[in-house]
Amino acid sequence: MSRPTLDASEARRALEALTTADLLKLERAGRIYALGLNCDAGDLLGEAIAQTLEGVRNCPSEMPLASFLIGVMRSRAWALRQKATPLLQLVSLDAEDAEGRPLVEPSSSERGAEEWFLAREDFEARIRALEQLFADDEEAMLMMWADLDETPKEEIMAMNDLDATGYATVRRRMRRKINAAFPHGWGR
Amino acid sequence: MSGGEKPSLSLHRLADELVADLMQLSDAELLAEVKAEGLDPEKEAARVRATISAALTERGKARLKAARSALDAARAPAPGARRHFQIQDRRAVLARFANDDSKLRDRLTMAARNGEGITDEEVEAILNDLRDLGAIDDEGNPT
Repeated sequence: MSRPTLDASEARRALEALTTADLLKLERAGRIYALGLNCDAGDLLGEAIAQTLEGVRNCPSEMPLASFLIGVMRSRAWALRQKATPLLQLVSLDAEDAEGRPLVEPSSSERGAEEWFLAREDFEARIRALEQLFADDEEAMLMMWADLDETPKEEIMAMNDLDATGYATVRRRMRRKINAAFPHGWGR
Repeated sequence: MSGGEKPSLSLHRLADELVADLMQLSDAELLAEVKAEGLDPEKEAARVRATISAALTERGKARLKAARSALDAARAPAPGARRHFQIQDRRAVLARFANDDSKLRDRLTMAARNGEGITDEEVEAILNDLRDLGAIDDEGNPT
C-alpha cells in the first residue's frame, strides 16, 4: 500500500506553516547544493516547490516538508550536474600551458565540448577558492580533497585520526567557513 | 579526480556532507549561528518567504495559462472537423469556382446529366475542401 502524501492544498498549507528555522535551513541547504551550478538557492527552492505542488514529487504526509524540499533540491542539483556532457579528453604529453599544466584538448568537436571546458574551468576556480579558504585549516583541506575523491567517511576518519565527534566538528567548521565566505551562495 | 569525470559531480559529496551537518543543528543552534554571523534571522527568513511566494505566484500564472490554452483548444475545431459554411448562396460560389476548374465542372455536369443533382452536404463538403486547400476564404471568395 502506498504511503499517504500531501496534495497540493496540503502542501501549500505546510509551506505557509514553515518556521523561521525551517526557512533558514531551506535557504542554506539550497545555497550549498547550488555549488558549481548556474543557479542559486532561490532557483532550486522555487523548482522544488513547483514540483511538489504539481505532484511531480510527492511529500509523504509524515515527513517534515522542509526535509522533503531539501531532498528535492538535492535531487535537482544532482540532475543538473549529470547534465554536464561527459567527454573524453586528449591530454598532450609534451605541451603545457603558461602555468606548466598539461594542455588538454577535447576529443569532440561538438558544441558541448566548449561548455564542458567552461564548466571545468569554473569547477577548478571554485576548488582553488576553497583551498584558499581552508589554507590555514589542514583538517578541513584534507577532508575537502577526500570528498572530491569520494573517500568513504570511515576512511576519512581513520586517515585524520578523528572520532565521530571530531569528524562532525571539522564538518561544521567547513560549513561555517564556506557560509561566511560565500554569503550569497556559490552558484554565481 | 581523473580528467574525464564530470567536473561538478565530485562537489556533490562535499555538498551532501555540509547539508548533513546543517540538518543536525537544532532550531536554537541555527538561529544562534545566523545571529553570530551578524544577520537577523527574521529578515533572512522573510527573504525565503518572498521566494516561496514568488514560486506560488509563478505556479498560479502557469496554471492560468494552461487553463486558457485548454479552453482555446476546446473552442477551436478539431483538425479535420468540418465547419459549417457561413455563406448564403453556396451553389453560386461553387458554380463560380467550377468555371476555373475543369474537373469540378465535369463532376457537376455529370451529376446534372444523371438527374441526381448535387446535395447540400456535397456542396458543403466541396467548399470545405476548397477552403482547407486555401482556394477560397470563409466567405467563398477566391484567395
